[in-house]
Amino acid sequence: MEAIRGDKLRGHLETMVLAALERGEAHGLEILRRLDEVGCGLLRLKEGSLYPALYRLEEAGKVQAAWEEEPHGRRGARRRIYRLTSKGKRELAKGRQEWLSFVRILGAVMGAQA
Amino acid sequence: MNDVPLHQLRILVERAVRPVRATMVRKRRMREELLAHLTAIFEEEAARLGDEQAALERAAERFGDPAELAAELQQSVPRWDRFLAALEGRVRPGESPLHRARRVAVCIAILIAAAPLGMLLRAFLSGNPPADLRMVVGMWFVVGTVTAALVGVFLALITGMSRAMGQPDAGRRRRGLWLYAMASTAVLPVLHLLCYLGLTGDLASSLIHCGLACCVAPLAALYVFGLARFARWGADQRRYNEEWASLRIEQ
Repeated sequence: MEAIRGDKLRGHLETMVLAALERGEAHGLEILRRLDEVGCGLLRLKEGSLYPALYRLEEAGKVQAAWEEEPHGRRGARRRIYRLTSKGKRELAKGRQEWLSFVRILGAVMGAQA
Repeated sequence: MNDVPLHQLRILVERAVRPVRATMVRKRRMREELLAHLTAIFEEEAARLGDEQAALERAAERFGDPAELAAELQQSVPRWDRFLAALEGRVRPGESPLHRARRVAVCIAILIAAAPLGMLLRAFLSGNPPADLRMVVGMWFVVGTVTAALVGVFLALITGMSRAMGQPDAGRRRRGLWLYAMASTAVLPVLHLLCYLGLTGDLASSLIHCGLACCVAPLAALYVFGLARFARWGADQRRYNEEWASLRIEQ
């Protein structure tokens, strides 16, 4: 299968992050690992791009973040741990509905229903 | 990890963060979080490849183009944060603390003056001028003066003390600023009395106002204590910013 690159993911990244956080709180690298795992290694996302999406989600109140207590094995820099808020959960449910409708309509148009 | 890869990773982070228009606090958060991420993927790649240079290249590739990331980070900065960043940008490097305090105090005094002026103008234009114009102008003058003076003292302390903490003449400069702050706080009630008395000619109410100002004065101790804590935080922020600003990020 062909890899899916970042430009194709852009419009869906925030919902994907919310879905990854549904499994429990996580820092940025762990969120990427979860996405990679579910995407069978075919998602090719520039890792830095995750953070602007996380900042937008946090600003919108869809996720909450807190600094970890101590850095683990890294010098000086700490990670932030993100978790889903109730607003984020509602947004995720809405995002899933939109996606299903998108796939259904485009699948019908292209004659390639999932 | 030795210092060379860490330095390279910091440069990558700084290329993405330095162009972003955001407050220093927000940029600090971005730096720290991106550096933690980059360091983790570098360590992952170094363990896999067994070669630091190759791991650095691979980490940079996974991280993405810093210029593109800078644009994405900029889009994630809310408007209010960009506005605060523009205010922060008004702080001129190398400007003396007292000069900066005076400049900010003058700006605030002008803002304070502008509000009642607008209200007075509106009252006159609507044909309902205030009954006692002298009292309105007096209050306006007193509030404006006191606020501007307090803001000046506050800023002088913060900037002076935080700068002083990173310099060899810290003790002398800090003592000078504390004296300046305490003297100004003591002078304010008297100034308040003189202004009020001069404008209204009413000694009884002027003394009441002066008494109120004196009651506020003991709070100065708490206020100075709070400032000292804040100044320490400011000094830490400054050191951090200077450290990152010293990185040469040109390619």
